[in-house]
Amino acid sequence: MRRAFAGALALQLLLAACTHAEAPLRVSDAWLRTMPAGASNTAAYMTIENRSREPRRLTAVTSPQFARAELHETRIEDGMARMRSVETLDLPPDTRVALAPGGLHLMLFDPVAPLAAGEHATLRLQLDNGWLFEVQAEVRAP
Amino acid sequence: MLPATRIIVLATLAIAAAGAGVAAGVWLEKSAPGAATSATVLDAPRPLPQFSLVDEHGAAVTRDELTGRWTFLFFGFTHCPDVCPMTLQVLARTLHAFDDVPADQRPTARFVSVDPERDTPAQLASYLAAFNADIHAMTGTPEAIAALTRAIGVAYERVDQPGGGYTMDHTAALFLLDPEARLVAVFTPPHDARALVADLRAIGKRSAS
Repeated sequence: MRRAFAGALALQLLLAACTHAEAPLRVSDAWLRTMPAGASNTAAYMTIENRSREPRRLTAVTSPQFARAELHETRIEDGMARMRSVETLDLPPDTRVALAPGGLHLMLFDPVAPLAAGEHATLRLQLDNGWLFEVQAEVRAP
Repeated sequence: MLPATRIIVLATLAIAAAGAGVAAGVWLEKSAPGAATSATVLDAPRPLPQFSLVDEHGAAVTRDELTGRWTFLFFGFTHCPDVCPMTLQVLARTLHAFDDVPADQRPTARFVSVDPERDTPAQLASYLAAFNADIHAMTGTPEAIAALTRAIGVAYERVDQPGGGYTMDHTAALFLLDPEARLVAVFTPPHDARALVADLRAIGKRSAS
C-alpha cells in the first residue's frame, strides 16, 4: 500500500511536468466551505473532467489539512435529505463530473488547523490506475 | 441494532400539502404573475402546538416568540456539511431581499436542530454566525424536538457512518409560519431564494387582503 502510494507520488511529479493541455484530468473551480467555529466537518466541491480516452475512477481522497476525507453524496429521497458515503466515483472519458452543493461532494473531517476564507486546502485525488492529482481548493464563506 | 435516538416521524403534512398544491398554485399565479412558485399552501393555516425550546443563546423559545413576523422553519443539524449550509444560504439571501422593510416586520428564519445531542446553543450560535442573517436557532430536549417535528410533519433519523460518527437524515423542506405562528405553506427542495421571495410576497399579500 505504502509502495503504491510512493509510486503514485512519482507519477504525480511526472504528470506535473506535462503541459496543461495534455493533462488527462482537469479539475476546475475547486472550493470548500468555511467551517464555523466548533464544526468538525465541511464539504468540498469541484468539476472533474477526464480528458483521456480511458474510463477512470476516483478511488480515494486525502488532504494534509484534514484528518480524513471521504466521497459523499446528498440525495433528496421522499422529501428527506440523506447523505451517504460513496465508495468510488466513475469518471467516463471526455466527460465532466460536477461535485456541487446538494449532490456529490468531498466530505472533509477534523481540520488540523482552522481555515479562513480565501485560504487554500490541498486535496489529493487518487485514481484507480494509481494517478494522484493534487488540487488547491479555495476556502469560501458558506 | 437500532441507534438509541432513532426516530421516524411520518411526513403526514407533506402528503396533506401535496393535495392542496393544485389549488394553491392557482392563486399564487394570479397574485404574482410569472413568479416561479415553489410553495404548497395549506388550505387552512394550522396553529403550531405549544413547545418549550431554547435559542442559540440558551434563552427560552415558545410559540409566542414566533409570533409577530413571518418565519421560515428549517430542520437540520450543524454537523451537516452540504445541504444545511446550502439551504441556510438560500434563506439568508431570501431574508436579505426584505432588508428595506422595518426591522420588526421583516421575515425571519429559525434553524431547528434535529440533533440536540450535539447541537448545544453555543454550537448553534457559532454555526449560524457564518450566515450573517436574521436566522436564529431552536434546540432542546429530544422529546421537545420530537413533539414539535411530529406536529409539523418533519421526519429525521440518525444514521451511523461506516467511518465513525453519525449523520442525520432529515426533511429537506422549508416551512412558513404566518405572524400568528400558524403553518401556512411548505416549500419542497430544490430551494431558490428568488422563488421564496416571490412566494412569500404573494402569500403575505393574500394574507393581508
